[in-house]
Amino acid sequence: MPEIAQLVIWIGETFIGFLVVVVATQILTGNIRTRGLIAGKTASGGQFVSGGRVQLLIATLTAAVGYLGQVMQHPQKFPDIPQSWLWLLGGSQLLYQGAKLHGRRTKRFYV
Amino acid sequence: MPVYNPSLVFLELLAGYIICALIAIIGFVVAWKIATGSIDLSQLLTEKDASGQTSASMGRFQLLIFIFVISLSFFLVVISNIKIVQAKPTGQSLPGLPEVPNGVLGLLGISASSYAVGKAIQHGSGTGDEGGEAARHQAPVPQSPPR
Repeated sequence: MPEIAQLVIWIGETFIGFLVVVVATQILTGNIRTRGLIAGKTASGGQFVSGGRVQLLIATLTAAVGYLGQVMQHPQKFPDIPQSWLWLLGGSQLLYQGAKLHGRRTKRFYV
Repeated sequence: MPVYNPSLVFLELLAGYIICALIAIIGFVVAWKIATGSIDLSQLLTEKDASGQTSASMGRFQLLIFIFVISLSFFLVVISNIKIVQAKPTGQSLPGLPEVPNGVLGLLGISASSYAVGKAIQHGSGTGDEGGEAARHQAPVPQSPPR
């Protein structure tokens, strides 16, 4: 019979691995809808590529990949996130939410 | 070194295996329901936009990515610590759960609060999930008959 620690590792690996694979597969096959992820809409109903959404997407993916890379290199300890990353992500969010609020207030565009 | 009662050790092991089995069963049921479509994830990233149609939300997408990254990292750190102890069994007990740094909490906080701010902006303009639906399905105000 396996040790409890080994059993916990197997269960955790299986479950988290399954969740990641299922969500990634469903996003790639379109079952989880991502239509309009980087699109904004004008008041007349036309679509455009939203700069606010694109920069937030790039910042998010960069931070996520960078952090996972740090963990892979030194998995003994949770690596801290540099203050500059937090400022970058906070600023990126502020830009996106500011554009969203401005667009809704002026009723000219929606992101 | 302390000597434990063998029946207590057996009870501890039994409890450990039962808890593992219970969590594994719950995880398996959730995974099975997701795989068969009983738990529908198709609307996981969508929210209503200004025109009342659904489109993908950046706030939800970011929160999803960060939750996966942090949970995977946490799991990797825990496994790594367990494997270190297993490789050098010098009588030391298993380490506790790793401490989560403030920066990581800040990252999740920024992401979750921006999701909430996005919802607030959406509801402020009357296109929120509940607000928009309520507005669309609102019963017409009955007209009072002319006197």
